[in-house]
Amino acid sequence: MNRQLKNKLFTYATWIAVVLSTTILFFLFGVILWNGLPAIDLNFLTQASSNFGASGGIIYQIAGSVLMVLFSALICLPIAIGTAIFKSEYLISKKLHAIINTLIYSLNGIPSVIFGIFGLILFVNILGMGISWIVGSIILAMMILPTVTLSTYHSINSIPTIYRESSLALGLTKWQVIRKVLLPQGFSGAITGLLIGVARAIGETAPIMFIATAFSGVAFPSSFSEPVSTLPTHILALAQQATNPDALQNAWGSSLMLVTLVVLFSISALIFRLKHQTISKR
Amino acid sequence: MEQQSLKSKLSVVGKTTVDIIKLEGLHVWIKENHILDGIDVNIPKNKITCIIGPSGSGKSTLIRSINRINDDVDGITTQGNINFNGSSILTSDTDIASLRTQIGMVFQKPCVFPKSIKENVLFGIQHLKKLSKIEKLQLVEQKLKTVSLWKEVSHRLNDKAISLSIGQQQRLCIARTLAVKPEVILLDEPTSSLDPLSTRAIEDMMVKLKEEYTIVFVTHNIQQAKRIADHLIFLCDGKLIEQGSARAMFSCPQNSQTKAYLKDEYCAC
Ligand SMILES: Nc1ncnc2c1ncn2[C@@H]1O[C@H](COP(=O)(O)OP(=O)(O)O)[C@@H](O)[C@H]1O
Ligand SMILES: [Mg+2]
Repeated sequence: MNRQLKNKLFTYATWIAVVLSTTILFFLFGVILWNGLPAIDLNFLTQASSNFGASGGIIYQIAGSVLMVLFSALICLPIAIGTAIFKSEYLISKKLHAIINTLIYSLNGIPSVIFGIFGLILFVNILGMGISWIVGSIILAMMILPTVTLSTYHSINSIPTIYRESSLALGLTKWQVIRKVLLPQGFSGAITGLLIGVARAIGETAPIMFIATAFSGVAFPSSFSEPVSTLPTHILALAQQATNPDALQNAWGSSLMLVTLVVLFSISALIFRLKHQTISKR
Repeated sequence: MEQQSLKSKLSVVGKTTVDIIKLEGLHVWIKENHILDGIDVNIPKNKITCIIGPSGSGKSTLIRSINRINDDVDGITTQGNINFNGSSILTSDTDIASLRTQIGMVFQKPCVFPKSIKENVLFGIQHLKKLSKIEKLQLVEQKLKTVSLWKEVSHRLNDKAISLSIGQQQRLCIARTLAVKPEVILLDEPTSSLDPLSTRAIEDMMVKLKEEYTIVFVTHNIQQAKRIADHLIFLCDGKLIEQGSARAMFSCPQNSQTKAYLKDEYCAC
């Protein structure tokens, strides 16, 4: 086959892939919008659910989801930054780097339901923390830790050596260089990773359904040790009553709300990354 | 006649300056490679010492050993001794951060921090000392004047430093180093990425600065060394070929390799 033809075929193939994936994406969005929009009005967004979700709104589900991912972000960020700095600035041995990488990628590869079981056994049963949203936050923090750590690591590690040397040459200590030069420049990477991680965490059902959520009868928690209701677990509960058209309608509405939140976090991540490009990429 | 020449020789000896830095048998290896092979040199106080030599001869490695910025290079081993003001700086209990405030460094490529011009001047000193607002402003003005940048930037001190031209950025880097008040300033080919005008400005600045500071200036440009050097160190392939007063070395080099290099920029070693 001649080379030009091969090139052309390859170009077509990539185009088909692009068109296919965007079509699927828009089809999904379209269906959710089409079915979800009729459910959404001010009452739906501002009222508590009643009748097992078939009537009322989803205010506590939104609040529960946002609260849980917010705290998971707070728990995850310092650990991720610490690991990233250690890996980038202190760890010299190539072997240890390889081991840490393997650990990070393995953690990322663990199916989310396993995190749920782990949380159930360790935090709920052994440590006796009960079914509470803070346990859910801890588990979600573990889940997004690899994403946030790697994103932070890459943005710190890609800062050119000359910035480290220029500040060391002025008499700064290594710790001052980390605090004054590397962290400010690497922080955007941490936030980008965090937003991507949160976008993923807010949609997770399996890891939190046994350990952090209740399906009905919960309001905004007044302590760390109460369960909350969240959007994904609410959708799951509503889908189980799919024969009831009101429940189904609300399931679509909740789905639309959830997808909106995911898109919001993803777009913020994108905007943040574009706005705060590290020096190395200029 | 004889007596007179002896007298003039004596007077030269009498004027001999103090050596602020002495390298004794300095060896550096990076992994398996022997980069510096037993270097013995002196850096005279309040003079400009130029280190010349072909690229890859170890000039950067030598100068970077003096403020121990080489410590962080992967796989480096250093042997021998470096004396600064009479005490060794290669011991394990040397306070490296404080050493670097006494021996500052300017790099080949200017590296400004993503901050304002003013903050860049203050970047090093503000981590060492608490300064009042007035002291800060005075320091910024004084140092920017020293590097002849004040006229150009006095009206936009809060602009991002990155908005300056490369030549201006390099002068800003020098101002930042001066603000820490070191005794010695190491410069590793500071003009090699600059235009001729900025290069001349920096050369003139060095000649003025040597009254207050000791300057160690790496260059691969022989004409530049000729213009500014008081003391000359010629390295080739990790070895010291010759050192001495610049005037003597340029007029009658003792070593044939030095002669060839100064004449044709060619070194057979
Ligand atoms: N980080 C490093 N790793 C390995 N070799 C190096 C490193 N830095 C310098 N070298 C080697 O050391 C020699 C001297 O380099 P350098 O001191 O930069 O020379 P110069 O500044 O005179 O051009 C060169 O052969 C170079 O390849
Ligand atoms: Mg060099």
